Amino acid sequence: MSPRSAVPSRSKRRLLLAGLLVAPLIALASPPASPDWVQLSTDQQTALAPLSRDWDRFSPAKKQQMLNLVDDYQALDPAGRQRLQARLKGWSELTPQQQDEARANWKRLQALPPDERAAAYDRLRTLSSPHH
Amino acid sequence: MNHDAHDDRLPNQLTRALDAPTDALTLRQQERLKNARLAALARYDARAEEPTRITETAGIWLSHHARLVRHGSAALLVGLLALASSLWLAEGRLTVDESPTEASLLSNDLPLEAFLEPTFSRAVEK
Repeated sequence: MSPRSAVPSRSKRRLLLAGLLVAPLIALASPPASPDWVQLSTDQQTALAPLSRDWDRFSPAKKQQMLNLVDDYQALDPAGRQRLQARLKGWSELTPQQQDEARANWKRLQALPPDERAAAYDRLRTLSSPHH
Repeated sequence: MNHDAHDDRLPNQLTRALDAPTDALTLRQQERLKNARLAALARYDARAEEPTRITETAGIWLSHHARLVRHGSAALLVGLLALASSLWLAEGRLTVDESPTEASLLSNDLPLEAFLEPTFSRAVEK
């Protein structure tokens, strides 16, 4: 008996290609997952702790946005993690337009030459201090 | 009665008839075959004079351009995927992962308000 060929037949290859093309469509057409707080992993609950009381009210899209931050959170040093968590609740309460604006402005700041960026940082610190 | 002999004769007769060379046909049989061929040719000519039906034209075109159709179908599928992706992106269902930017923004030492307008532009555009 001849061994079964390891190379898939032409029709199987076409079927596989069709599947690979269609699968992303199916995935994108499905709604995003919406886990409850108790369903999150320990790492996720640790990173997103400031959101624990509001979590179950979040839309699936917002939950996914916050969950996407967990890996980046874990890559930060302790001081960075602390600052992120301090801003997390406020971030989650911004409108999508405000979040877009903040991200765009952050990128604008990072794109400045180093000396201009430092000067802009100082002005922003001054303008956003409580005594200003 | 010898049924076997009777049953055997018909298949053998048919076989001999089919195997027989045509010059063994009678004049009448040859004439009938000739008339049948001429009638078939006449029907072919009559059909050829008729306008081609759309389905026939499409079938002929497809058979001559099978490769183009296969590749065209693949190109159409890829195009549809690209269109769907751009529509979903516009709708916000297919989002670019902004988490690295957000993590940097949230972990720097400036408050969130600093990056909202008009505060930010006032500070940067001086």
